[in-house]
Amino acid sequence: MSLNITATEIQIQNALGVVKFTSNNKLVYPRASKTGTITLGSASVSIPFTTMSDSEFLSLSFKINSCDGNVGSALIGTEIPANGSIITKFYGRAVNNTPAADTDYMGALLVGDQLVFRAVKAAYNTTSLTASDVTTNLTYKATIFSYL
Amino acid sequence: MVERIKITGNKIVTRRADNSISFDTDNLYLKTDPAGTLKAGGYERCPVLRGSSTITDNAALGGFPYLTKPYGGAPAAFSDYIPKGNITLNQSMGMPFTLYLGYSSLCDITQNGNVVGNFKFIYRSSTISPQHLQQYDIYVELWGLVNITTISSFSGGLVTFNNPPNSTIYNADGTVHASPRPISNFVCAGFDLLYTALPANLSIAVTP
Repeated sequence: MSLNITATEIQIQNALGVVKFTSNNKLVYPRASKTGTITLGSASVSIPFTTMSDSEFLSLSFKINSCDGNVGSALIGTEIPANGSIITKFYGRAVNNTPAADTDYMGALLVGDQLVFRAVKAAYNTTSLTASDVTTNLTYKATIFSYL
Repeated sequence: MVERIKITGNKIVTRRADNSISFDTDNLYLKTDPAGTLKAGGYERCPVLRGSSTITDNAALGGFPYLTKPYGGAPAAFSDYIPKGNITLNQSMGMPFTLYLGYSSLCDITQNGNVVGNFKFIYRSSTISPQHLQQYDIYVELWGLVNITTISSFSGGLVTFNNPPNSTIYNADGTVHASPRPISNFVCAGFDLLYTALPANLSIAVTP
C-alpha cells in the first residue's frame, strides 16, 4: 500500500501497485435518504424530500405491498429498482376480433424537493394517457448520492 | 483524541475523533469513472404496450408516467401556460400557430434548477375542418416539438406548432389517419403537458 503525493494528485495504490483511486476521482456517498409507504391510485402523491445539486443523483426502489394489477400483484414483496416507471397491469385481449392491449404503469420523479409518484394508463384506443385504475400500496426507498 | 490517518505497509486507515474508522483501503468504494460500467441515477422507462390491431410500445407518449398539469378542456387552464395565447374552448385555430411558454408555468418541474426532459403538447380536437372528417373521431396530436433544453434558461419562449410532418393525425382508435391533410383549423378541446425524463445515468466504478 502506498500513498503518492504529487503537485497535482494524491494517489492511493494497493499492495499490488494497482491504483485504488486518486484525488481526481470522486467518491460516491449517500447524502440523504427517505423511506415510507404510500397508496397510489389515480391521483398523484407528493412526498417532501430534498433537492439535488448537479453532482448528485437519485436512487429509488419500490417494494410493492399490495396491488390489484396483474403485473404489480406478481411483484409483491420484491424490491424493484425503479428510477422511472414500472408496469402494474397489462391487459391484452381481443376487441372486435383484433388484438388489443392496455398498460397501466407507475413511477416517481424528484421534482424540486418533492418525490412525486404517479400512475397512468395507456389505453388501447386513445393516444393520450389517462388515470390508472390500479391501486398500489408500496414502500419506497429513495437515496440521494453525492460525489462532490 | 483527534482524527488520525495511519499508513502501514499494507493499508491506510483514517479514524474519527471517537476512534471509529471513517476510511479503510481494505474496503471497496464507489467512485465516478467515465468508463465505469455501473450506471446509477438515470430515469428508465418501462415498456408500455398499447394499441388495437397493431400493438406497439407507447414511445410516442414518453413511456414515463409523470404527466404534469393535465388539462381536460378547461379554458381557464390555458392561461396558466399560454399567457400570451388566446386559446379558449371551442375556438378555432389555424395552423401553424405559436404559443408562449412562460417561466412560471414550467419552473415547477425543474431538477436542480435545470429542466431535464422533453415536453409534448397534445391537443384533442372535438371537431375539425374540412367537414367530411367526422366529428369526435379525430385527435390532433402534436408531439416531439419541444425539447425543453432549448429553452432551459426559462425566460419564456415562443414555440411554433406546425402541420405534419411535425404533427401526426390519429383516429380515435389510436391508428394514424389514412389521409392526413393540412388542417386549416380545429377546435381545441383538451390540453395535456407531458413531461418525459431523460436518462441521466452516472457512470461509476468500484475501487480495486
